[in-house]
Amino acid sequence: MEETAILVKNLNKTFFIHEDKKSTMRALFTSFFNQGKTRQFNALQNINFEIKRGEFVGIVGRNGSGKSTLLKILAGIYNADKGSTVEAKGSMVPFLELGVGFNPDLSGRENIFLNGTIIGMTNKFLQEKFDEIVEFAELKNFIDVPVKNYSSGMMVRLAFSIAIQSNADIYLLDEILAVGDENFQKKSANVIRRLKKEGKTIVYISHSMESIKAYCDRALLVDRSELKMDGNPYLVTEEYRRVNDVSVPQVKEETEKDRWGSKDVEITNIKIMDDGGVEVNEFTKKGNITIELNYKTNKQGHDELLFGLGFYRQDGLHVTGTNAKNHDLYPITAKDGTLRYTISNEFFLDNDYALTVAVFDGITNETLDYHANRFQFRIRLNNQDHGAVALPCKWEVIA
Amino acid sequence: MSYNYSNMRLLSQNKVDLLVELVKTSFKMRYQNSALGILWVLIKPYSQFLVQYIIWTRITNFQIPNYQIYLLLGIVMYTFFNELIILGQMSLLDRAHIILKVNFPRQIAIFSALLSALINLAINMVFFLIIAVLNKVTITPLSILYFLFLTLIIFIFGVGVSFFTSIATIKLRDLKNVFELGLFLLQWLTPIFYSVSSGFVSGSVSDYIAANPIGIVINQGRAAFGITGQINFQLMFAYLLGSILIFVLGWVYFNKKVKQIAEYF
Repeated sequence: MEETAILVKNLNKTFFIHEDKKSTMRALFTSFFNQGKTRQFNALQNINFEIKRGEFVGIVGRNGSGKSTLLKILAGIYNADKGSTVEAKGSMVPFLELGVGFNPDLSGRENIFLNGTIIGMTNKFLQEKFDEIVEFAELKNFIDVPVKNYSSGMMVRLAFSIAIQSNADIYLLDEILAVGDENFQKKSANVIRRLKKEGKTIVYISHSMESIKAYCDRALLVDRSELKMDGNPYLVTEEYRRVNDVSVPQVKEETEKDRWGSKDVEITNIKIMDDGGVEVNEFTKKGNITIELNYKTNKQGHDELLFGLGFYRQDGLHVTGTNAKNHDLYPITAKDGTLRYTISNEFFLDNDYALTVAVFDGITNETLDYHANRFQFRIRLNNQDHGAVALPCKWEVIA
Repeated sequence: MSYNYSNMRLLSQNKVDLLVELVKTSFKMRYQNSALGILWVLIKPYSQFLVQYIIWTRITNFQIPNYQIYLLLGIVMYTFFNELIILGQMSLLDRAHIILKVNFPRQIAIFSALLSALINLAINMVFFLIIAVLNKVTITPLSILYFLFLTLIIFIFGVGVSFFTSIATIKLRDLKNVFELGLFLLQWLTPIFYSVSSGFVSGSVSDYIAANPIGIVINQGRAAFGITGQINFQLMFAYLLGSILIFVLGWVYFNKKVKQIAEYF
């Protein structure tokens, strides 16, 4: 475990950007007398880190922070500036993208050999693994169809299935774990875990903090060309959030997509409050989240009202949801009124959440008013548990 | 920067397979969804031959024996040279989508493009040989061997030039048009449908044309099949050395520059 797989020392990368790019002859002639300005852009500045064999390291950073440049330098596509040290020990497969060189007019079969050899496998090896690739991609009946007729899901499944066959010591993955449907994602997650078990070194770039936390042993935060942080993925993703979104979530502008229902009964106002009854959108102290909603009846005929709400994490995960009936508040017969819902904020891990609220006719199940993901709030309690929620629990020494 | 690859043998097998796959793909792509398919390789030079043959035999009298074979071989060889230069020049740019994502030896991109030209030549030559035999040209093993030797000279030269032009074209896209124009003009300065001694061109112009290296190689091709002229092996050996020199210089330049070029795509 102590062996070094990747060593990066004093890594600098400067791009020279010609203000008016001279890639045509005319531009070259006109700028002969009027030299266009060359601007220097330091894409990476003094980056230092070492990755041990068998480590699974995540790289996070905003678009344009330099993380893709870093990966391309590791992959050997860009040269680093003079004086930089970049060493990789062992064979390496860079998946900067899935399905490199895929040709839409060729069949799945032909693309397996084309893409497979491009990413470093031999023809003989691909022939041996052919059935396995097709099976994993779940494309048995479509393998002789041109890939231009594939759905995008089928395409990435094929690309991923080829990619994972390549046998190397170091894998560079750029945002490729979240492909395919749920079932396929499970399968691919298993493959990645297997690679990890086999002691492969993996460098993984992602914008999904959840997958960084789920897979990585360690994470690097690249911000404005510099390596800002190197350490525990939980702390690094937290810092990424802190650095990158200063804006506190707000109530979203309502669009037709976010709201539907007959509005015979309408939810007119929603308030998210802390223990002091103050409307907030960020919780930094332990306590309750209190949600109050006002409703009024626009059209008679709905005698039993059923209220429900749900919490969604910013990446779309449905964290929890409930309706009033499950908590013995049913039926509600009053035509106008205010409801209150209370939940401890300690169940929520640090993240941004969206609140969905709705009212239904309890007899016909008709949707009367549905506000999807409109109200957002943020939890900052610094709870280091992992997963989707924090459940109450206790650790004790009993012997 | 250093990369220690653990399994060199496997890697070099991969390079060969990659080369084969890229050539196969570019071939498939060129003739995908086309009714005549691979026949197009023949149609282009042979239709050019037909038109030129009809026109030149009507309006001039070159006094060249076995003129149809003389003309056909000239067109086939110049087409090969032309394809080498154009395909080689575009080889990196055309494969940008792979080059920016995967770190394979970039020379493979050039070789794969130029191998397509070589395959086209092979197909054209098969038909040339059939037509030549029908026209009572005697083909000996020596003539085939000498022709292969000439092909090698042009090929090595084409690869060497492509090492420079493929990189230059990324920086300056106009070069594509410059080369197309240059090759078109050069075609007229090459004894393809005429011969230097036929009086079609005269005075100092004919001296320049006589010194045109591609023309000299094409004439050596004609000599190989006993159409016109004498085999000059010594001169061709000097050409081979020249081509190798260009190849080596190109290789050095290419290796030095190719990594930097990724930023210019």
